[in-house]
Amino acid sequence: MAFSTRVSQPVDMTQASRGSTFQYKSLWRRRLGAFWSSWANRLGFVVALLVVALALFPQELLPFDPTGINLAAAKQPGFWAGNTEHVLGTDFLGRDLLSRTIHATRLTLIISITAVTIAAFLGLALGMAAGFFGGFADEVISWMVDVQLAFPVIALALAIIAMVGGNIYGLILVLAVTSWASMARVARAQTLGAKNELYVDAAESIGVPTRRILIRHLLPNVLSPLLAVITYQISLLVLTESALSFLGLGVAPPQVTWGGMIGDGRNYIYDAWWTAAVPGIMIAILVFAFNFVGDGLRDAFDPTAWTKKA
Amino acid sequence: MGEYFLRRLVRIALVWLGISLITFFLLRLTGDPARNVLGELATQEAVEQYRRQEGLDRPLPEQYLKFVSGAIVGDFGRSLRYQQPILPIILERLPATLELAAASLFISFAVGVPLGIIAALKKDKAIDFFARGLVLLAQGIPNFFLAILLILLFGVTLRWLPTGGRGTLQHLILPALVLSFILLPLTVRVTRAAILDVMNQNYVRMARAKGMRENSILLNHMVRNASLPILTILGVQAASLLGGSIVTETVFSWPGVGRLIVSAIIARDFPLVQASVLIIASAVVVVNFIVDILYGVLDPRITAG
Repeated sequence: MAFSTRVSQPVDMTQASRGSTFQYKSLWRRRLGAFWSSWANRLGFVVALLVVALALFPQELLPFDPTGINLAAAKQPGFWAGNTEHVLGTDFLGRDLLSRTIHATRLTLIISITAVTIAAFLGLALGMAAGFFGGFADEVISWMVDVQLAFPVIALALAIIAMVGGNIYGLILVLAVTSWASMARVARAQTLGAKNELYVDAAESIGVPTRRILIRHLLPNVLSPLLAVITYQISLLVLTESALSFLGLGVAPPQVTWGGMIGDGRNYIYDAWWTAAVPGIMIAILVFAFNFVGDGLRDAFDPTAWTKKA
Repeated sequence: MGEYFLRRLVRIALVWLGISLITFFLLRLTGDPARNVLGELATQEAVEQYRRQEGLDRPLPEQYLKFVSGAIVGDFGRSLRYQQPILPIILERLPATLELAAASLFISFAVGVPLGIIAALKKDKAIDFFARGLVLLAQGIPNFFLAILLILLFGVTLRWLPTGGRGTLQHLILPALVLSFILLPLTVRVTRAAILDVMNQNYVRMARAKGMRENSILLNHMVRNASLPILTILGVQAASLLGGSIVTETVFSWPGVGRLIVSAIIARDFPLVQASVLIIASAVVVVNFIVDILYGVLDPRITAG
């Protein structure tokens, strides 16, 4: 408005009179605004937060011991049958499903998020190196990505676990191995796109060291689209981990994840369907929430998305 | 076309070499392969004998060359559990896996492509919301959990379909349906996006302006151009399809390669695990190669560039 009043020629004031003043907002605020403007994103974000809160739930406050066996109370249905003691019912060993589900949230999330973090570092480093340096480095790294993506995730994970043995560290390693390649792909494409921008040329011409260009100038450009990929990968790895646990190749008891709970409940679906259904629904909720957030982030970071809406 | 074909062939061969390298080192990941194979309780003499017998005392590059040249002619060594060459064991299970994969592929495309097209044409109408809801649902539910639900509903409660095994068409329905949920959501999503993308292109407007019938526009202009991204799914998702078949086969007691891998792992039959993983990954590479070639056929611009 301040600008238009200084123009001496007659101007179309309809825009201004509607009150559409130009207000400067930083890139991140515009992105956050775009993200928050969709109800699906808001819902996904809140539910994802709730899942994280469930993982942080203090274990001492659980109504029952999540590993406490009570055969006298085995296979009790939950609230739908009027059970007020075990609200979500009990499994074949009489363990309280509500306590057990909350208890398992922590390990389920820790495994996936740790694996994604490792994979993101690995993918970022390799992808950015491939995109920035090109040439032989690019050939080799792109070849590694192609080879990795040709392996069926479950098959490779099963084979590695069979050799390494199923413990948490092995599982995290396996999941990280199956996940780095898609991150590297995104990081490479983003770096390729950004490295010919003027600000990179400018930085190079005043003698900024390569390491600093990579970290200060290119990394922010790579990181934002990668955020959406990371969110998708968390839900993907929760699914993969649960499939491995379901096949009996996840963490060893008494440790438990949602996938392992479904595996436990699988043999009792005829007379106690809830033992598989409760953790199954939890996984579905988590995947929905993280996918919503991922979709929202992808749109918010896509520069064409918010300029179209604005 | 010839040069494009050759370039893809070289690339595919390189990827396959990488795959063979990784499967080769899988057995050597945690130290002594002979010890891994025979177990902790085997005597030192037995380990030594196995090492000599399998050539494990030779230098690593030589072992790898032997492994690769064997794999190319179909010699994957012997299974510990079955005490016979591995190739026939896998070949015996392969038709079951291919049957399952083909059936689920058919369901994904026969349902997913039309649904994606309709959702795009009727954007923001009820059918579009249905399609998008289905995509979300299919992406969120763990595959094996869906399998359990379907077994419970159609196998146990309604008693319409068998809950496991292979034989008749009825046996195929549930596992194929479950496995199709891996490809289906992406098929719907990509088809919808691709049709939305081409819908406002100039050649579509041109066709409409010159009075071409809507159905012909849809088939000749929109679907043909949208077919490339749809084809890409097949290449990208071939790995998840075959990986998913491991879980699906296990849940439905489907006698395929996937179930073979799981039982081989439980029996610690490492040579069999190694060979199965190599064969499955090779299948993914072959599918990708076919997709690349189809690409060239469908879009002449790719082979020219």
